[in-house]
Amino acid sequence: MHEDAELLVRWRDGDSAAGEALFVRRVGEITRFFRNKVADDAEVPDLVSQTFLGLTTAKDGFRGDASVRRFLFQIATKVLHTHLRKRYKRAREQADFGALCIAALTPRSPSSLMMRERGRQAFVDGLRSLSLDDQIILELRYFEALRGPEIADALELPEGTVRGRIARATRRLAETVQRSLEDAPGSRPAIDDAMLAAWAADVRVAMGRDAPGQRDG
Amino acid sequence: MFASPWAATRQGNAMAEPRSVHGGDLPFDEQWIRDQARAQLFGAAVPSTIGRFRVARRLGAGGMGTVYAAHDDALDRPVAIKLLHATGDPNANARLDAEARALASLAHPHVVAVHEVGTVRDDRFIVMELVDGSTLRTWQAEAGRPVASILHAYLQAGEGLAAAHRRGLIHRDFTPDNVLIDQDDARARVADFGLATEYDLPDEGPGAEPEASTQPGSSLSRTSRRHRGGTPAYMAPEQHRGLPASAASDQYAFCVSVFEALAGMRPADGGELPGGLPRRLHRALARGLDEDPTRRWPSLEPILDALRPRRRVLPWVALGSIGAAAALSLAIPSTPTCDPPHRSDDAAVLELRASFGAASDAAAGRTVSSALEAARAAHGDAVVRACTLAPKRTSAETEAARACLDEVERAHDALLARLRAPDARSRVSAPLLVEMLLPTARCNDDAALARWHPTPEQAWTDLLEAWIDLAALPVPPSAIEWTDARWKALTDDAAPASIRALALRVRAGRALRDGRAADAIGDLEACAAEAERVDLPALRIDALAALAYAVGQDRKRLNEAKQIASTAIAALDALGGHPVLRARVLHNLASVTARVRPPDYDAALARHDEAIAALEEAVGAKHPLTLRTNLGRHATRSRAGAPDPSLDATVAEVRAQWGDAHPTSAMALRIAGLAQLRRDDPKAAAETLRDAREATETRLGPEHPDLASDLYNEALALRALSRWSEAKVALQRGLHLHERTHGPEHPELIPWLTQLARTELALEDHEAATQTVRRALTLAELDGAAAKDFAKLRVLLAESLLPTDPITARVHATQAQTFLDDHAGFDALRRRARVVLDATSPGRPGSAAQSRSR
Repeated sequence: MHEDAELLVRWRDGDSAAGEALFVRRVGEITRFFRNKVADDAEVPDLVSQTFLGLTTAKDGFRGDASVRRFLFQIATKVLHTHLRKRYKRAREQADFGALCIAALTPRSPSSLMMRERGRQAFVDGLRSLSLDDQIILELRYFEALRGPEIADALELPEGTVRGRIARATRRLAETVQRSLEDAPGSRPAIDDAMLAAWAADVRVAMGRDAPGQRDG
Repeated sequence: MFASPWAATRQGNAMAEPRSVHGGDLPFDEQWIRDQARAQLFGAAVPSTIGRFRVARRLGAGGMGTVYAAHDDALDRPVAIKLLHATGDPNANARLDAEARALASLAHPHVVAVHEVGTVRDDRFIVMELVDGSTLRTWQAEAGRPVASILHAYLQAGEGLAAAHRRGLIHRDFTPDNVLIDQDDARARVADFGLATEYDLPDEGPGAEPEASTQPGSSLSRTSRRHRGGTPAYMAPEQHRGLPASAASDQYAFCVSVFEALAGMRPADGGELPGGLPRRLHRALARGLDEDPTRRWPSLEPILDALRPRRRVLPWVALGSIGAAAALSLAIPSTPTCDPPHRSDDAAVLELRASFGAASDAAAGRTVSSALEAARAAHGDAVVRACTLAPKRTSAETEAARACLDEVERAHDALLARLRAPDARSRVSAPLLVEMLLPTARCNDDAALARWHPTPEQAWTDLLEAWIDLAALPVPPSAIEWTDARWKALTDDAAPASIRALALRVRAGRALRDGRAADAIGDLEACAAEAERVDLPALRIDALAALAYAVGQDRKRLNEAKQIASTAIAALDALGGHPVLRARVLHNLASVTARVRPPDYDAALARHDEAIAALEEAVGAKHPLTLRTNLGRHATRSRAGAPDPSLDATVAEVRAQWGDAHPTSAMALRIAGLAQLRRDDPKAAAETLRDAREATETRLGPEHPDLASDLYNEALALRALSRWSEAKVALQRGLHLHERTHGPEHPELIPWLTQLARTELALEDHEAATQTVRRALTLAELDGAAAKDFAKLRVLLAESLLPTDPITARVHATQAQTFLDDHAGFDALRRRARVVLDATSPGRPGSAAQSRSR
């Protein structure tokens, strides 16, 4: 069994030190998962702790053979959906998270994600203007440096679907960023994937310098 | 467009940093989220620190940051820390620091104390007093809270807000959530001054419309979003429009809060004030809630007045829930005490300061307002002192002291009122005028009080206006009619002494402006004597400074002028304070020191520098007073042969500020032209000096004696350009003006005659040149001029005589040579003498012998 899985089993058996160790290993990516998707950082700790709590309470939960990380992201996505439904009436009415975007719900990023550099801010805002599902996929790619198959695994989606969505969402993101930078004074070169990656790396650093989440296996 | 969607992923991997357990190097926010989540899950509150402070818990969060309860281990006290999100804008940080410093210096019982400001990573944090209690909103909502005590809490909060306004601090986000009520003593304290905005767009003028750009990602929308970080329900209309918040905006928010506390609803939501409130409170709130900030109260004070219970009547008792004990606690003790006078318009000083507006004038506004505040504070102290002295004084003495103090207060108010509507002229004069205020000291000094006589208010105000009128010409002078008869009435012996002193000073200023130095001297001497007699020390010193300038116009009286300026400095040292006046005296002393024989340039420049530094501090580098003083330094630098390259910029700024018709502009041009001449640019010099002369001519007319020196300078430039005929005309004109002023035998004419003779020589008019030099020689003999001057004139005469009378020419050249044999230097003169001697040496072709035979 993987280290994460071992820790989770022990935690479920009542070893809170193991739970804490698991938390320390995984808290970064789960925090990052939520931070660009809510209006206020103050809401994040609750969501993070609910997610980890979900590891221990989920009925149809972890069977010991699946990745803990995948399990965590599944729970985090559910926690986020619930949060958004509760928080925003519109999200409740229109619970299609494939179409709904965070920017429409909360037009402002959490103030701690206010980026000093215009390009970086455009990048952060651009992510929030994607559909929530696409935003989740691209943030896993950019912030957690997950590869297509890993994302597919974490979100329980077919690999081909993820691949296609990444291509489409990246293009949209580039277009959105391009547009918002064009509106700002001073001309900008065409946004390419390398620029997006560079901004992503900067934003990642702003959110915390620890490494992307630990890999299973 | 994208080669492969996986490309960035690999890049992302490449950039990934080595694995680490969380902690260590995380941004504070990230660390805080993780700590909180961990605490929720495992119950272990992870202690974090901000700077040297140990964070105990989170108190709340807002748009601009998060507040934590923390402990200062160094000072062993609990503190509240507001961690602000990074702005990355160094200006914003500087402003935050400035504001925090101002707040830190504001110790007020109803303002949450700010201890210090710090930085952790890129984030600023503010360390404040930790108030153990609740917000005013929570507190006032508690069941059974008496209306009177709620109003009392708002009164306290309003006093805190007003105290901050007096320091020029704007809250920008006053709401009941930003007022804390101490659990122990129910004291209200205002928190979070100036933090509502991110300070990003301070220059956003009224024309800017931040709403215009709402594109996500555009820096403007982001900034404006931050900028209007106030609480919308309490924000004044102008803040909603994106305009900068002012004290009037705070007033609006304060009134919304009071209204809401009384009505249960905000006025915009259709709330209505309950019956039974005093009408004055209705009125106070209604005006404070005016949409137009200029129509609100000039300060919070009238509203606070309306919140204060009247002495006997307690109108709020009628409101019901108030208890007898609370009513008693509100009663104001009526035992007679010596309280400082209550002022309803302290904010007027603030307004005055704000009216100086532009950043370049901010320093002047600060200086003027703090001088007025200091004067008012001194007056308040004097009133208290007069009150405590009353039992020991006769009733007549007490009455005189009271009248004297009243007069001082009215004079302060009059000046304040005048300066609150600033124009180009009062802007220039204000920093000096506030140092000329009627002093309070004499009202409590028995000897001075015995000499005191009432000062007619109107005359005093009119004279100040006349003084202001002197400041700049481009603005039409005030409408007050100044007839000779009025001057006579104000300055004759029957006039009240203080009026007479001021009138003499102002009349002298007008004489100086119009180039009548002699008239000014008499008035200034009389003014200094009168001011000393009636205990107006600052006015006396200012008169002495002006006198030094006026006397120094006469080159022969420079030593006397220097003496007068030194007396003024000594008097000022004894008096203390008065930085602007001091700079003025130093400036005049420096100018005289640079012109006296022999000049002491080092001492002069040191004084210039001191004066300029003082003015830059007091009124800013671009203020007209600073510029004029700077001009004096340039003149001295040029004289000393070390012109400052910034001269052109100073001249341009002076002309922009005063307009070309003002004597200061003419002076600037003169200094610039002479500097151009010194650095061998006669073409530019001729133009500049012509401009200077024309400016003087426009101002004083073609026959004014002061025009002479401009003509002389212009002629020097024309000569350097070999434009001899024009130079000759200028010199003849100037000589004529000089003769009229000084008479035909004044030694002042010598340099004129010399230049004229040389010009005539250049035009080959030897006869005229000979006559002119002979006249100069005669004057030099009458004056007992120096040997070198004779030598110069003799060489010039020899040159003039050479074609017609070589024998006499040789005689004069030989005499000059005798002087030159004994003295080193004078190379040019030596060469010229040699030319004459060679040309007239016996035995040479064209020699003296041959000429004589002709």
